[in-house]
Amino acid sequence: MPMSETAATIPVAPAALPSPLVDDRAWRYGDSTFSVSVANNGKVSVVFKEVRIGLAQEGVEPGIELFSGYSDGFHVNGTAPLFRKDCGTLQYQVKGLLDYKSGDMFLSGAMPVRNKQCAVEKTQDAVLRFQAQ
Amino acid sequence: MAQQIWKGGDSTFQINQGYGQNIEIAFEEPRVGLINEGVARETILVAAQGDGKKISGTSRLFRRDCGVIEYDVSSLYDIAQGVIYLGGKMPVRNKQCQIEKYQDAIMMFSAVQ
Repeated sequence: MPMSETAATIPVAPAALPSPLVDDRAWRYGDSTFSVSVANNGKVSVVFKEVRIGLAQEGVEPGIELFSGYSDGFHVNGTAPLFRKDCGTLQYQVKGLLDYKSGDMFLSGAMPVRNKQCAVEKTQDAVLRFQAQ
Repeated sequence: MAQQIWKGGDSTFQINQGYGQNIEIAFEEPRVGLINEGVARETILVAAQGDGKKISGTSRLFRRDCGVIEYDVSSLYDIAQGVIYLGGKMPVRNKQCQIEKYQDAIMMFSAVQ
């Protein structure tokens, strides 16, 4: 499935985002680390830096995007992919809250659960937290 | 005016905002497994201080045989949008009630429409 085809946007207040937010911090979620950037237009990107073993086996590599969306300076809204080598990547909608300065971001959404035939058979509530180290 | 009900997992909650930025998350209807551990309506799960976007405080773990223990949590929240996220290092107790490890815990509370 194409990446970000269903990416949702929310209004962005330009004054809330005066300059791009990019730094060298590694943000941790589980046993992986990420870089998090916020562009002038509010676009937020979360990209793998170090991939935990289980995900590496599913084909995930450093540089792959885990979240793509937009922020108004606090709220975020977008999509996150699910990785399975045998089924391909599947996007689902997530939203959450981001405090870039303190290095804290929560994302939540109804995560699809695929069966052995790769068909989505249910969804389950998923909550992810990324914290800058 | 009826107070807003919030959902977290299979329990429902009331959010009490006190003087200053004190926030309490108290059970409205605990899920069955927690009732068995002694949790009842109005039992406080989280007590924290907020600034409108971030809160930090303590959450409680309930086990009838071991008693209640607290652990630190921090969060981002937006009461007006009806969402509170909480995360912390949750102690895991063994059969002898000793803390043998900690695991990342994340909770989400959302206002019921």
